[in-house]
Amino acid sequence: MKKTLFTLAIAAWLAGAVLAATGAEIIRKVDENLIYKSARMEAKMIIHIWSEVRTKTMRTYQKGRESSFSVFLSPPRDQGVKYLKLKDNMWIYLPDVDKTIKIAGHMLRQSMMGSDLSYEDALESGDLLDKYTATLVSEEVVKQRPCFVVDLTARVKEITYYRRLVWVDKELFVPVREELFAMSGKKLKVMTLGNVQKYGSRYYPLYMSMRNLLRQNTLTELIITKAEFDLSLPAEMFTQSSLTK
Amino acid sequence: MFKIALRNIFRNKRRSVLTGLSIAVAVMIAVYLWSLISGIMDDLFDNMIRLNYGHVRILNTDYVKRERLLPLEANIKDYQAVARLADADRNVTLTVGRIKFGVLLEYKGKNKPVFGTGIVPENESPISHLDQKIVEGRMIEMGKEEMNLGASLARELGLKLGDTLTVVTQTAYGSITAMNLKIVGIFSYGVQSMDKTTFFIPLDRAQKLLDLENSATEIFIFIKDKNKGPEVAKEIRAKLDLAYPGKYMAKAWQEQELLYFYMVIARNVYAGLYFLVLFLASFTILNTMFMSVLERTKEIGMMKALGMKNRQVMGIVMLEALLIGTIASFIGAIWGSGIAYYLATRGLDFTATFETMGTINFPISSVYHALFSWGIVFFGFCMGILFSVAAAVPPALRAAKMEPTESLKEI
Repeated sequence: MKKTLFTLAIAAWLAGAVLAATGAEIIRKVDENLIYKSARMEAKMIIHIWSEVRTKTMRTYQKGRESSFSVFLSPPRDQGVKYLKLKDNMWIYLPDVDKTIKIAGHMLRQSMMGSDLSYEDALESGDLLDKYTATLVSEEVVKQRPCFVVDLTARVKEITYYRRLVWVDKELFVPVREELFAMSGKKLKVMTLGNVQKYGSRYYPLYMSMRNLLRQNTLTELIITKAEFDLSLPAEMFTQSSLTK
Repeated sequence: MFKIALRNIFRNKRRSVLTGLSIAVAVMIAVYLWSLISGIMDDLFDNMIRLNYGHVRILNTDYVKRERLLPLEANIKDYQAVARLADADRNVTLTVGRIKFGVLLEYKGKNKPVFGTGIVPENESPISHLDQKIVEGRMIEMGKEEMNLGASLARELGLKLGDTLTVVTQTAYGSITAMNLKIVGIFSYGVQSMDKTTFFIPLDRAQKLLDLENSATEIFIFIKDKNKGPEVAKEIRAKLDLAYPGKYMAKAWQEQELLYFYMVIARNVYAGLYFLVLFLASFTILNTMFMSVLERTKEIGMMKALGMKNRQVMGIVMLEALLIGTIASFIGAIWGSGIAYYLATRGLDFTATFETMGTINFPISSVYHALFSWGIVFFGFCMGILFSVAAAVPPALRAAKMEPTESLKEI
């Protein structure tokens, strides 16, 4: 009897270890799909706020996960507003006053361009597996697609979202839904992804929606209208001087 | 009886003078204290009405719940159409839209959280008297990217007329926004919460900066008789409920919880102080009269043996207190009115103290002015007499109750 119990305990422990490894493996495969050496995208940001709908268009250049440069093309109010992200730093250029402002401190938690995304969301860089422990918790069907449900729990204290639940398409290894939680367990944001397109051997979602549950009646949709990957981008694009050009 | 009472007063002049003096000082303190507190409170309420609340204010119902956070998203859309509803009321003399917003002001490496207010400059004069408070330069003008800045704030940040300041804040929709604003005027209200933390910009510029086209965060309403605030607010509320069900609400200055709280505190503190001073002074008259009665035990016994009635004995003691009380209260009222007049015209200047203190969030003036009123002086005079007479009741009763045979035994 004792032997049986011992065997069962070992088996349970091994099963957990296998699931944990699988969780990390799934996240690694997701990153392989989503992170490109470089990218150029044109996107439409549709912000549903109270009873209003505000649409902004933008062009974004990305170098890996750590550098990006975005410029807003419309509406006239936001035209020429530029964002530069370099690792953990972010700057905004406001053409109306011809001024570059570093986004730091309390500003990081604020909404980006009035959307449900915060600057912290945009600043997120580096490997998720460096900060989180990934565990495969279950399998579910979302939008008729069988998915892995991976629980990411933070290993570090100073982190925006202590816990994440990610639903990953089992076949394409692209996230279809993500829920973000605070340390208290409160659900903060819900993200959904869709319109997955194939680029070479990889898959990339061209639609994202984010709902900040701390705001009332808001939803932000990000629709990528044009995407090019692995192209050569000038190094000077990712410098502060490019903001004022 | 009057002669006897008068003779008794002069019998021990020193004691009568000391008693009178304590009453006079008490009445003096009561008069100028009331004048000063009335002046401070009137000034505070006037500032609150002119700068914060108006006689009646229209607000978004969501804004009311989170007013301290200045939630720009809870604004009044097409505010002019909403203001027209109030304008139609016969009691309303003026309606004006405003936008209040928070800003982290940065200048030459110095950061300071301040409050900006978007105003219609030409309508501000009868409300906040901004035109009279400009100490340097001129008032802002609609359509121009200009600001009027508080004098203490300008001093603190080292800003002067003609300088351009970049104001960085968030729009009502949460985007970062900025505007370069030229300082065309510096104002001084003598109110630290204004001079130290506030700037004004034209309403249309505030609307552009904060992405609040045609909107305001509040509509200030001035009415003919400010005492009718709740009545007018009720009428406007009814119209708003009909046109915009549940969306906007009107609040009279009397219905502002904070203002009501201050009113209650002020009334209670003052009443407590006023009566405490007179109560303490009345002890001296109680003591004096008791001494006087005890000293004259034999005399009172004699008078009663000769047929003087209890009522008459009591009357003599009371009359004595009345005479001392009247003369002393008159002198005290004159002294008190002199100090009150001085404080009303010259004031007590606490500017230097306020400058060193942190930001005070209610609009109290740095120079305290008393409110000089003959009504306050007369009331103080009457209260002095009343307390003097009331304090004489126990000794008078004791005198009246004395038995002639027992009293005559006393040497």
